[in-house]
Parts: sequence; C-alpha cells; structure tokens
Amino acid sequence: MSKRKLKSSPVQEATNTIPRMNLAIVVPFLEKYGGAERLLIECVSRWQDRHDITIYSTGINDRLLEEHGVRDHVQRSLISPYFEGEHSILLNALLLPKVWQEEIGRHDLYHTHLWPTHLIDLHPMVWYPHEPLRILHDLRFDQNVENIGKDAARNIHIYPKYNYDRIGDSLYEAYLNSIDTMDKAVRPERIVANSRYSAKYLENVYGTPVSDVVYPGVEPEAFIELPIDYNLFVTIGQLWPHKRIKLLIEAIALTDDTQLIVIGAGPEKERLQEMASKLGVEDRVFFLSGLTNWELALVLARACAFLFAAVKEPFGIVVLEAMAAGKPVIAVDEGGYVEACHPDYSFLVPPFPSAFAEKITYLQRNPDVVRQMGKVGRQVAPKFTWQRTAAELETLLLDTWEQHRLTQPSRKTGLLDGQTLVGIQYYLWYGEGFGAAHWNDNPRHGYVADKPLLGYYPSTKGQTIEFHFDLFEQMDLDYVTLNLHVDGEGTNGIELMGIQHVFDIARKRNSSLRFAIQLAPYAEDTEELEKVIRLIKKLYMNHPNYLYLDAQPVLFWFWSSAFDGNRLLLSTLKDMTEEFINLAMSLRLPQRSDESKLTFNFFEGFAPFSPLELAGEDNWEKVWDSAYQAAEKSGMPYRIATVSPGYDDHALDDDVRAGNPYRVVSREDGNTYQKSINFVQNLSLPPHLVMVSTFNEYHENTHIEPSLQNGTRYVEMTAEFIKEIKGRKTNETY
Amino acid sequence: MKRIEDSSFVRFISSEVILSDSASFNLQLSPNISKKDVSLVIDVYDLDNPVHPEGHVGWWQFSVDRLGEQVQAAIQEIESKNALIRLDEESSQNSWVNEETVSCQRWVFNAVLRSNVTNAIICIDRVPAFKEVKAATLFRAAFDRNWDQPRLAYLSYVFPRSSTVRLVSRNIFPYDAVGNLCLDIYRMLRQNNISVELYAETADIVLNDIVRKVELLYEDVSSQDQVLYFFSTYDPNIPKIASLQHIRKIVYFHGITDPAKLQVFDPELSAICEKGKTQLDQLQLFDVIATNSLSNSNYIAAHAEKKLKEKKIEKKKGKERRDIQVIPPKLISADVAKRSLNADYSTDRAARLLYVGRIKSHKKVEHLLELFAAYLKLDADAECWIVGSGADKAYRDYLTWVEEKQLQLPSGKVCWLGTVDNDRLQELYRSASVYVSMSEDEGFCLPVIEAMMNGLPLFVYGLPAIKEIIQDSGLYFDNKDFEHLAETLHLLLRDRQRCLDIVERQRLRAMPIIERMDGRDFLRLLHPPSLQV
Repeated sequence: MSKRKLKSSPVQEATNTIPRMNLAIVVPFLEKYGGAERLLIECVSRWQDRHDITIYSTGINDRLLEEHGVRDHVQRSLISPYFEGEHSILLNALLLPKVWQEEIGRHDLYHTHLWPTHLIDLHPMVWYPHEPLRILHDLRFDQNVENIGKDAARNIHIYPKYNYDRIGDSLYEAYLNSIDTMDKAVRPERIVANSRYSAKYLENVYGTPVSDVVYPGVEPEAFIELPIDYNLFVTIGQLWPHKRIKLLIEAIALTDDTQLIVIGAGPEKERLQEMASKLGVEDRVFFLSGLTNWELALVLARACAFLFAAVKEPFGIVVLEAMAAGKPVIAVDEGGYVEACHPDYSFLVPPFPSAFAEKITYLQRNPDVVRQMGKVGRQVAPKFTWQRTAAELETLLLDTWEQHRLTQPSRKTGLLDGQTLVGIQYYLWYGEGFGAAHWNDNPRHGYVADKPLLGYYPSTKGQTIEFHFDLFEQMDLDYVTLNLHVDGEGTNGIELMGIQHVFDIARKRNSSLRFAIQLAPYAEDTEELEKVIRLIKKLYMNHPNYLYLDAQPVLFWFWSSAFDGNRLLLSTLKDMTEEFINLAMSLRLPQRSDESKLTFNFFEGFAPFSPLELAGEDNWEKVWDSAYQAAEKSGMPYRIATVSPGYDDHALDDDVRAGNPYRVVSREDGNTYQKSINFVQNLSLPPHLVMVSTFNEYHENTHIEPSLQNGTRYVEMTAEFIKEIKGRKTNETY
Repeated sequence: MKRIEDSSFVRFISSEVILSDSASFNLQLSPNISKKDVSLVIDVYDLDNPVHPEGHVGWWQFSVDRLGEQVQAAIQEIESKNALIRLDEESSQNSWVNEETVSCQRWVFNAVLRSNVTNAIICIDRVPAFKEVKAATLFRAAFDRNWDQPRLAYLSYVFPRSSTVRLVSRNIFPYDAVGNLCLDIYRMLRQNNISVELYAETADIVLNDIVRKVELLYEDVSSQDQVLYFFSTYDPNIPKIASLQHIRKIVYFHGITDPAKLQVFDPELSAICEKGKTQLDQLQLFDVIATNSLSNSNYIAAHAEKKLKEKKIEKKKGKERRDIQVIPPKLISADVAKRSLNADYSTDRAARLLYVGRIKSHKKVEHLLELFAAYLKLDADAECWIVGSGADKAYRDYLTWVEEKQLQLPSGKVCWLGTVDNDRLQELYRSASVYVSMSEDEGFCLPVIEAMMNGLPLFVYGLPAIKEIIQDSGLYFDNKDFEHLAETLHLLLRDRQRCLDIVERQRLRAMPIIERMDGRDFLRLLHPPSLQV
C-alpha cells in the first residue's frame, strides 16, 4: 500500500532510480548573485524535479530564482535576520545559527552553504562552506585599521553583510577567540570543498579530512565575438580589501594607455576611486555595478584580458567565466582557481603590481597571443559545467543520506513485521500548579478530582516530560499521541510548547518511542488548521521520532463528529494532509456502509476515543466489536482498538456533556480496564494499533498515570498487557 | 603625494598656428605651477587622424623649471622624421618621434601638463596648425559662421549696453544638443546686438577661435554681466561659477543621463554622469533655474526636497517649491517651423523606419534593430534608417555584431546614415514612414518634435519626457515585446487613415511648442531684473 503521492515530471520519470530526498538547503542570504548563490541556484534548478526542496534563508530574491529557472514548487522559508548593533558580530556567529536551528523544519538531509550554517545542529548535514571564516585565520590581521593607538579599531566584514562592523581592538581578539571556539563545536557529516586548495585549508581549520571536492561550473552566455580592445582589462569582484583591487589599479598606473574596468560593488569603492585619482588613473579605472549577465558578457567580450588579484580566493568562479568568454587570465598564483589554470591560457604571477603590469603590457602588444590564449581557455572552460557540479554534489548528498539511514534505527512501522503497536493518549495542556491551566482552572472543563503522584505538574517542563518518558518506556509503549487543541481562539500554546519539548527530549534521550500529533479541532477554522498542519510538516513530520506506518507519517484526529458531512472542510483537510495517514479517535462509532458519506474517505482508521461511554456495560463487547468491524468494512486499511480504565466526567459543568447517559463508568478496581484489554486480546483479527485512552486525561478520569487514587496499578496492568500482546503478530489470529 | 593645484593650467596664446608665418607658437603657464611636480609635454598629431601611432608625429617633454609664465615654442621640420620642438630655446628632457613619416596637411598641437610622479594629465589645451592661412580659413569654414541666419527671436526690451551675456558649458561641440543650444543662443544674442561670449573647458577645435577657455571667465566677468550656465554633466568648474558674487547667474539643466545606462560601453562618461549627479545641489546656488522638460523640473524639485529632508530642514510654511522654468533645448526659427509644419505625409511609400539621434547605449539602438528584425518578417521590403553619430567604438562594434551576427539582418536593410545636414535630415523625415525610438533616457528628445513638425508618425518608447511632448498624439509603448510591437507597427503602417490622423494630431500638438522655440523664452530668461515690472 503506497499512498505517497509525488508530482511526477518527465525529468523525474527519467531519473526515477534516484531516491527522492526531502532536502533542506540553508544559505544565509539569497538576494544577490555572488559566486556562492550562483552555485546554489544552478544546483537547485537541476535538482528541483528529483527532490522535495525547501530553501531556508534570511532573505530570498524570488525573481532571481525565477530568472534562473527555479520554480515555485521549491519551497522557500525565511529564517531570522542577522542581528545589528552592539556585539552583533558575536550574536550572528554564535546565537543566530541556533535560532535558525529552531526555525528549520525536519528533513531527510540538511545541505548548508557558507559560514556559519554548519553550526545548525541538524543531521545528516552536508556543508559546502565555500570558505572558512577567514578573519579567524588567514585574514585575521588583514582587516582595515581605522584608528591606531588608544582608539584602535578595525572594520570587520562578515558575509552576508555588505557593510563593515567597526570593532575596537580591545574586543577584536576576544570576539574572534569566542567565535573560534564555537566554530568547531558542531560537526557536519560531510564537508565538501570547492577546490583542493580549500579542502586543505578546511582540513587545517577543522582538523578533519575533507576528501570531497566539487568544483563550481560555468555556463557561458552565447559567445559574443566583438573586436577586442587591447587596452581594456577587466576584473570582477566585490570591493573588499582582500580582493586586492588596489594592486590592479597600481598595475594599470604602471602601464600606458590601458583601462581597467572593475565590475563589482562594495564599501571600498570610494577608497579605491580616491587611490586611482591620486595615481592619476582616475580616467582609466572605472567601477561598474548592477550589470546583467548579458552586460557582463559584453564587457568581457571586448576586453583584452581578465585580471584577478584576490588574496587566496577559495575558488574564483569569475576566472572560469573569463576563460569561457575566451579571455586570457592574469591572476595571482594562489587560491582555488589555480587548479583550473594552465600556462596555455593564463599567467599566474606573484601579487606585485609590476608583475601584473608586465603581463598586461605583453598582451597589449601581442594581439596574436591574446587571441590564441583566449581560444584555448575557451576550449578548456566547458569541462567545468554546472551540470557536473550539480551531479557530483547530488551524489554526495545522496550518499550522506544513505550512510545516515544505515546507522539510524529504522522507523518503528510495526506493520512491516506484522507487529501490533501499542500507544497512549498524552495531554500536554497542564499549567504549573493548582488553579493553573487544566488543573481546576474552570468548572466547565477544568475539574480534576484525582491528583498525579507528581503533583500538579506543568506539562512543558523537562522534568515532567522526562518522568513521563520513563513511564512510557517502562510500559514498553510503541507510540504516544500528543494532543493539540485547536479552537476559535487558536491553537493551544502550552500544548505546542510541550510538543516541541517532547520531540527535543526524545532526540536527546535517543529514545526509541514514536510520537504522533492528535489534532483536536473544535472550530471550523481552516486557516488556523492549515497553519498548524504546515507547522507539523515543517517541524515534526520528518523528526526521527515521528510515528510512521508503511513509510507514511500518521496524524490522529480527535473526531467529535461535529464536522461529519462537511465535505468542503474534509476535502480541504485531505489536501492539506496529503502526506499523512489520517486516523480518527472518535466520540461516535464508525458507520459500516455510510462512513464515506460522513467523512468522505478522509480517514484510514477509525476507533472510539473512549469505548466506555458508548454503551452500557452489558453491550460493551457487542458495540466494541461492531466498531472494530465497521471501520474495516467501510474500507479503512488500519484496524485500531481502544482500551480504557474507566470514565467519569460528572463534575464537568458543560451543557454538551449533559445528555450522555454513560458519564460515570466505574473503574471497578481495574476490572473495567481488564475487560477492555480482554476484548483486544480476544480479537480474532488482531489490530494494527492499540490505543490506551488515556495517560493523563484527568477531567474525564480516564488517566492511567500513577496518582493518589490509583497508585501505579494501571501502569503495571498496561505493561503486562503490552508484554503479552507483543508476542503476537497482526497477521496471526490470537 | 602632494596634490597639485587644480588651477594649474597651460594655454596657447593664439587659437591656431600658421607654420608659414613663423613656425612658432606661444604658451601661457599659470603662475602657481609646482615645478617639481609637473612637466609640460607638447604632443603633435595629424588633425585628420589623431591616433597613435599612424597619426602621431611625436611628443616632447620639458621640465617647467626653466620656463616662465610666457613660453615661446619653436617648431622644426614637423613634416619629417626629424621633427623637433624647443621651448624658450631649451631642448626637451624626453621625446618620442614617429619613425615613420606622418604625412598630413594639418596638425593638432597639444600642450599637456603632466604629473611627474604618475604621468597623469593635469591640464590640456590644443590648437590646430596649418601650413598656410588659406588652409586655416578652409578649416574654420567647416562651421558656418553666418550668425545672421536663420533669424531667431527679436528682443522685446532694450538690453543694457554694458552688460555681456557669458554662455558657459563644460563642452561645446556642434551636432551635440548642448553645444547646439549654446551656439543658437549665441547666434540669437548676436542678432539682437547683445554682447555675448562663449566659454568651455573643451570645445570642438574648429570653434577654438570663438570659445574661450573657462578659466578666463573669472577674469572677464563684471557685475553688469549675466552668466548662463548649461549643466549636463559633471563639471569641476560649477562650484566656482555658482559662487560668483554680484552677478546674475542662470542655470539651464539638460538632465544627466542615467550612469547605469552608459556604463557598459562608455564607462568614462558613466563615471562623469555619476559625479555630475553629486553636483545637483549646486543648482540651488543660481539665481534662476531653467530646464528642458517638466519631468526634469520635477526631478530637480524632488532632489532639492530630498536634500532638505536629509539635512532635516523643514520646508518653511507658505514657501512653495522654487520656480523652475521649462524651456525646450533647441531654437527653431519661425521660417523653418512654418515650412516644416506644412509637410505632407505620403502613405504609399514602403516601410521606412527612421531613427535620429546619437548612437549611444542609452538610446538602445540594438532594440531598434531587434524590432526591425521582427518587422522584416512581416514586410521584407522594409528598411531601417539610422541617422546620427557619436558612437563609441565599443557600442558601434556591438551594434555591428547585433546586426550581422546575432540578428543576421540582410545586408543593406539597415542604413547607417551618420551625421547629415539639416536639408538632408528634413528630406529623410519626409520620406520615412515612421519615426521609431527605443531610447531609455531622454531629457527632452528633440528628434521627436522634429518628426512631429515634419509630419512623420511617431512610434516611441514612452519615457516621461517623451509622453510630455506627444501627449495623446503619437503612438507610444511601455514594454518592449518586439514581436508584438512589430505587428502593431505593421498594422499601423497599413492603415492610411490612422497614419494621417496621427500626423494631424501630432501637428496640432507640435504647433504651440514650436512657436515658442524661436528663442523668446531664453530672451525672457535673460531679462535683467532691473527692467522687470
């Protein structure tokens, strides 16, 4: 039974042997079109039909994505922006990735770009850093000094900011040391470098082997063959000090009649213009920015050669682009692009203006050499294609995912080996102390007569949850449903926070328990429901502890029957929950033949929430059996049976409850619970799921949690029941 | 490095050199030249082919140590490989003379002050040189100096006797909109017997006998004078002109081309425009502001308001925004206007798409070619006529590539007509089918009004300044879907009645504009306040 619906496309059909990943891509900023962004966009445009991709970023330029063929089905999600102001450099390095971590949904794989996305502690992760945080290492002493002496300060730049942070020298080292310590605290499963040079650099920084290198690519615009201006030289790069544009300006000043076009923007522009003016080449050095790809190609097409002087550039895509445009390269002999350079089409020189000037003059005077070098470079460039980049990186992503899956315990589907799964209804709605939320806070639905052994506990606190985890594990439960109440006032905030903590603690404990959310809709507010379902998909659906059956996540619904027959609502819900198996825990019995007219095949399993309040004791077995049979007869594939220790809501002053003749069902010292257990044990066709209703619903007195009135009796009975039932298989008769 | 005084200059005393007379020329050096920092270079080229090395005769570099403020130069054997120039009988420190003989009939002599450290140009002046006076006369005749024709507006008040109008622009070149306007106003003022002088930092060498170097303005000007300054680009002289005291100063703003639209093919001009925009504040220092269109007037006002906001100065209550006069940037004599407005539009001619204007990248001539390529698919007999010059080589190369390689337009279909005289231009307006403009930056767009005058339907990209002129007469578009535009244009040109209707509406719209373009508005601008009622 495979119900997972994937939108197919020709590309997908052609590549249907590749497993489909639910892939998160995290990049700090996706608004401009720099080297890192270009690589990311080129890859996403090639992966988008093969994987379910969500891009997380502090800023996303949809037009940029659209321009480069990334379509709307690639999800985009904004994450918290960079901090500004005092100590922001530290906050952005240390705190921000952790904030992002909370905002990012659960995915099969996290593919992160640039620094500091590796500090997001989500796994498995493939980090393509492009470069380490260089101010910690080779550029540590190369930041512009603004003042000296007592007020010594530096202008610090950290991507993706396009301005400087001015840092006093007394704080500079302290900041860097703090960041340095944190930088190595989280280890992605895989680091992929953009050159062998970068790989070595990353190995030195992180002390771990970086054996995977994926080079960026180049996609030349249609080749434009314009007459070459042998006096015209071009460089491309953002105007930061380490791009060393000043070296090129000095080189130009050492040559005759040449012009330099600098394509790029940045805060160094004024300083560089002033320098050009002082060197008397103001009328020979021009700064261009905001060019389209086509315009950039036009400038390159006319140029004699491409110049590049950046300090140890990790790769330098622009060098490839210049080669593809048929331009000889004169560049400093350092950094990643050197691996793509050859004397046939490039001059690699020391970082001296005179060395550049010599090669500039040589090319200026030798048009034949310019043409020949350009021709060879143009032949070599196509080896570095974006297609190759995307394919190589995708292979590494898939491999990392596969490796991770092999080392993870498989999802507890139960049905794969015919095992009945036993779960329990768990409520996280309690506030802290008597009179707080749900602890006798109102007469209508807040009354509680019994008292947990733990006292009036707050559901959201870690100690409460850890205690409950201990009990769940002692009982050997397979799964736990986490109730989430949605009514006219919105979604229950305490429950939401509790759910978040439950999943976090499950991960931290490395628990084998599985959890599924049970939505309890009390209002026909599709907007709110959609919001909640989106949140479940984003944050929990892919959590390793989420409950899956037949490789599909499960969503329980507390079904009061108020929305029976509401075709519009149910079809909307169906669309929203396409990925899920929807199971009803209902206040009514399923209809054997007419269920589809009431719930329109929305549910794939249907069981009473509380079996005890449906009929008098004499009719229990008959009604339970009928409910069990009816669900299956109405075509639902999952058989669910409910067990419950008793029921008593007589103290709740709620008109809705007033007409129910079975408001008080005594526990009979455990006999009532045992009867419902016996029913399950005697079923000839065993259930796929058993639901214990409930762990801690105190208002209706269905709780089995250790309490002053009941002690630990019900927990022990449940453990015994689970032990017994686990010896059997669902495809066997009891 | 010590900054060299910006006011250091070198100039030729005479506006030309006649070799048969004396084989010499005189220079004036500014008194404040730092002798350690600069040298003086005399650089000589063929006037008709001033390129290195084919037209480069040679250069001679002199230390200014031993030169006074007045320098005499001696020229020897300029026509041979032994050419030599000496200054005050001193030999040059360095020199380069072309090993090949540069055979030419006339020369351009450049006097250049260069930095000793960086070799950068500090100041440059140039004059033409001729073998004989006759050659000089012939050269000057290239620009028509009959100032009496065509007759422009008559003065309606008596201009003060002792007052001179000083027209100033950074550059003055004929066939350039700014230069033309300067020269037309110069003509009109002369026709009205008003004392007038032209000043520029750079002017067409053919005009260097009537256009004075701008630094002379400060010496020439007196308190009875008026300065009419034409602002269209960055000009280092603006602050000094704007701060002239006790003189009525008028600025005429032509608009500054968007630097982004120029940067690819003319980065130098783009940088100048970028710097020019930083000088907009200076407009407020003039006594009177005028501009060429309502959209530029709004632009100036918006800029002024923005600056006030930045400085957190609140607009004074009741003080409305400054009055900015809008005057078209071209003078047209009433006779010419009358003749043009009587033009007929003949609809039986084959499709001829006409563009008139400079060939610069912001005019988007490549888009015209793309539209024409689409049009040719609908009408293989069509032609595209492109009138204008001014292309940088880079842009011209690109257009050639677009025409021949990218669009592969059949040879001869695009006629690059270059610069044409007024008669030929009028003939083209009258034999074309439609005027097409794809320009993305215009302050006024004179050819649009010319086309309207000459009865040619317009099919133009709808910039604000253009819409302001045509209003609802011609046809404009706001996006460049070439296929769709070609289809629309094709339908238009096949619809005789519609074309005639457009031509008539354009004519009615153009008439009141042209009537005022005889110069009367500029005369009113120069009306001294003392005479105003």
